[in-house]
Amino acid sequence: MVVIWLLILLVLFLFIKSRPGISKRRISGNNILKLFLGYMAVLLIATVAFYIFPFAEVPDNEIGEQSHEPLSKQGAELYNLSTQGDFDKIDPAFLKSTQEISYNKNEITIVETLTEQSAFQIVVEKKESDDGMIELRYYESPYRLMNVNISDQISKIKTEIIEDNLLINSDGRPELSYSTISKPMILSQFQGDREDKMFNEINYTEGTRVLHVKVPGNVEVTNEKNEFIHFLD
Amino acid sequence: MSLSNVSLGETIKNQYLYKITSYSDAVKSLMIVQLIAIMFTVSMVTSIGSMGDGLMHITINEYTIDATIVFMILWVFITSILVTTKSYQYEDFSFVTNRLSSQLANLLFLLTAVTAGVVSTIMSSYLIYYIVLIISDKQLLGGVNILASGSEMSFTAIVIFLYMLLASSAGYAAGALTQISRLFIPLLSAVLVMGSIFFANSTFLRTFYSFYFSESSLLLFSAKCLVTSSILFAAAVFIMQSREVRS
Repeated sequence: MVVIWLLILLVLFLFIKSRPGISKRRISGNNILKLFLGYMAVLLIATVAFYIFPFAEVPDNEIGEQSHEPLSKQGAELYNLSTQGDFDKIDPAFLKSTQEISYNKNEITIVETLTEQSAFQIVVEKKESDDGMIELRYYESPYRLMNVNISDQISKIKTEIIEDNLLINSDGRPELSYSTISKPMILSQFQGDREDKMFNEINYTEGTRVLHVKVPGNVEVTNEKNEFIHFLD
Repeated sequence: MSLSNVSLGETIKNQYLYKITSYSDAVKSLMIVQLIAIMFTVSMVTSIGSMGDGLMHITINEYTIDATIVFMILWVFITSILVTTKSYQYEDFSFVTNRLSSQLANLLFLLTAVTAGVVSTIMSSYLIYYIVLIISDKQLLGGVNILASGSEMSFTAIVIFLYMLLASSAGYAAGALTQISRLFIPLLSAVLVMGSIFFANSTFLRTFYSFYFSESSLLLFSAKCLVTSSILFAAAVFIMQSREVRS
């Protein structure tokens, strides 16, 4: 690496040194200065434009000043309230979809694989009435990457009933790619090591997903031993 | 014999203004080197993170102005060496001058060059931002970066300034040494190359490296850089002062 930089230094030296004669420089001096002012004007326009037209995804104002921790708390709170059955205390903003499916059988099996792979919780509750309807409510706390809400870009939960199975799946596993302009390395000596710097800059908060399944009172859910499915009394 | 009595300050001012307009090669090379560095920056993408779960996978790529900073440090180092060369020094004889006024005008010129380098480097990050926005097919996240806040940007500018000042003083001192004897050219090159390759793990280099690059306090780092630069500039001025007059 050192050799490469020394070679770059040598090439730059030869490039800068290969200047024209003094008389020629005096003639072209004003033009070069104009060219430089033009270059600086381009940089200035880019600078001013950045503050007037912020094209990149910018942090949400409401959470921009907050740290990583309160966002994680939102997910933890959603998890706690849902497993305690306090759905009415959950922030209505987290309720993403509701669905009602008519169901006339006495048994149902929940078939899913998502709980093992992600922060996804299924909460099953028996209704007091036998109204022949399965109610599904899907809650989600925000996924944020560097304080930008990316929840819209991640996969959504799909639910359907086939015979006596409630199938829960996602509509794919998107590969998301983002770019960012990071702080220069020379600042790392003032901000701890590189690892800390990266951690501060990525600032990712994984959202929590909860599917609240309300089944009629006469319907038995057969997979009660599934540790990833929480049953409310 | 001249009838006009020109003060040292006036001479330095005239020489400085002359250098600003006539050393157009330095300005030209700044632009070209910086444009090369910007091209380097936008073509060097580093993956800094990968995360996800069963529902999605996220990859984050980063761009930094590191290449621009390094290229600017090299540029100011070389420019400082070139300012000490004879062709530049002889231009001072267009004025009523002495070696001291010439050296002080050179230092002012180099200080201006460093400032121009810092300002253009910081501003180039915005240009890089727009280039990335245009060429990258990935979503660009604002987040916490050099562009995020004024205080962050000012901090970055100060650090770049100090590094460039250090490089400039080192280049000027090296240039002054080579004016004493041409033997210093191979000698300094050998020390730089051999030292970097063969003594990279030596205690001396480690201590030297830690002294500047491991300093976590900006105040102490500033003090170290300013004192070192002052010593190097003073040494260079002393060396150049003691040289014989132009024959």
